[in-house]
Amino acid sequence: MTIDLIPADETERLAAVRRYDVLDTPPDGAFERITAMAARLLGVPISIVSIVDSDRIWFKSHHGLDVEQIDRAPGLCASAILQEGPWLVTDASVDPRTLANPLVAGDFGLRFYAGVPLRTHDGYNLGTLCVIDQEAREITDDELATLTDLASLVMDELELRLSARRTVSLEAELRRGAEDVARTLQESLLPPELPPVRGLDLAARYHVAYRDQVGGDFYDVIPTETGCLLVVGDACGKGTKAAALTGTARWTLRTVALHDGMPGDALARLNSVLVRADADTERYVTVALAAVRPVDEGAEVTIALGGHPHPLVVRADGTVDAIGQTSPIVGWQAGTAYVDATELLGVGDVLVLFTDGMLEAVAGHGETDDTAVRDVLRPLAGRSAEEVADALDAALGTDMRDDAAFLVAAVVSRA
Amino acid sequence: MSGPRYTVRTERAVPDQGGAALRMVVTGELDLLAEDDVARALREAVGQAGATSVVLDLTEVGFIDSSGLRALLQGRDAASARGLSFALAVVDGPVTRLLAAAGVSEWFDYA
Repeated sequence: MTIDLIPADETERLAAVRRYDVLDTPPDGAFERITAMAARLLGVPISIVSIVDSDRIWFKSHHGLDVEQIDRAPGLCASAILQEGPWLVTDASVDPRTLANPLVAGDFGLRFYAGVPLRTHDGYNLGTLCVIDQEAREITDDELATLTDLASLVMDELELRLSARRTVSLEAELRRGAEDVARTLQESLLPPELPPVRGLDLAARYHVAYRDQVGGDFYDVIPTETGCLLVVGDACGKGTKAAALTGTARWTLRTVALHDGMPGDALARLNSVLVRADADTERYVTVALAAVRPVDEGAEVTIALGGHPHPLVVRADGTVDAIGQTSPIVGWQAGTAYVDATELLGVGDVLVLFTDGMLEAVAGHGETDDTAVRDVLRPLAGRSAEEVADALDAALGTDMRDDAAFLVAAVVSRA
Repeated sequence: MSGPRYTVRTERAVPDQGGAALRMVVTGELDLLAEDDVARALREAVGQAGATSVVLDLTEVGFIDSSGLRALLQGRDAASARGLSFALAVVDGPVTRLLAAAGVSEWFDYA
């Protein structure tokens, strides 16, 4: 008997059941109202929205019956879904199709059943809207039309939910796509790995505040004949325009750094390039550019700051100094000059360049004072670059509103 | 977040000696969200017929970021392009700290 009750397109039908993703979902108002209406309008005690699964019949709504599912085998809904139209049994006790059915012959004593298939737009019957009575009775054409209309309402509701779910998953997919683009773009703006530099132990971190948005922070380590250039910068604004500016800034610095010996000259060159390149979008960058030259017993750092937070040096004895002299932002005003400041670092000193986003993530929204960052750094004298970077990571608050980047250079013995 | 966290208001002083002195007052948070409105108000102020000077009052600004700074710079440049004087009214606080950190304190006149 069960074999007879399996539709020819059962595999595809079950796929449709899965697609609507309704099995085992919690009860909800729309379907409860429909079964209550069906029972009231047809004057029967029981009405059910059933979904026929592979081995069971699950009830999305069961008015007047305290059962959530039954085995598929005896279920009359399994027969009903073989039809294109309604399936009617007016007295099950004498109907040859049902008289041996345990629901009919057993304690439940089912006598009347009218089920309308819940048919998808592509022709699969998911289950039924049915009404059930323990008395034999007839059904009028009007009642059948009502039941059919209510079944259409159930199907409309299921279609609506499916399309809402599709919209949500489409949005999630679009967002994931945007995040992928943002991440790829961001990665193109950062060095894949830091080059080895003799006499320096380097570490860098980049944290994005919003995964679907490209930030404007960047860092770079550019090897030179005498040592290396350390770059940490921040393009004003967010999104692709900021990213484009970031890319221009990073690659321009890589190019000019080969020709202009001093960081201040390099920033002046970057400034004039950006003023010309960026006339229509009116954006600027802030940059800390440090030329590090290993010397006996340490390193000589020459630094220029274009409107950027002062880098900090954790001395081997635990004092923390801000270095560099502030010059204006880069890329706004033609002819801006950038001042170099030179500092000697000893072995064990740690230089930290960072963006204002990192400062705010440690010190609080809107903060420009670096005291909180100094407090984090003070106990880290003599530690490795990775250890310092980890400690800074741990100090970033959870409420990050801006991207945060930092570059750590610990001076180590060249021997 | 409910409603803007900033306000922008432009006042036009009684014309004297044939020119109008404009005072634009911004309060609240001058960030990415406020940038467009502030920049537009500044362009409109600077473009007003008869305007000869613009004072941008930022004494009630509690927060400003790089986007806010960009709006100030655009206002300054727009005023300068039309031959208007442009000055900031500030007190020691977030605005002066950001201007100093960006190295642009000297790029502005102060009222």
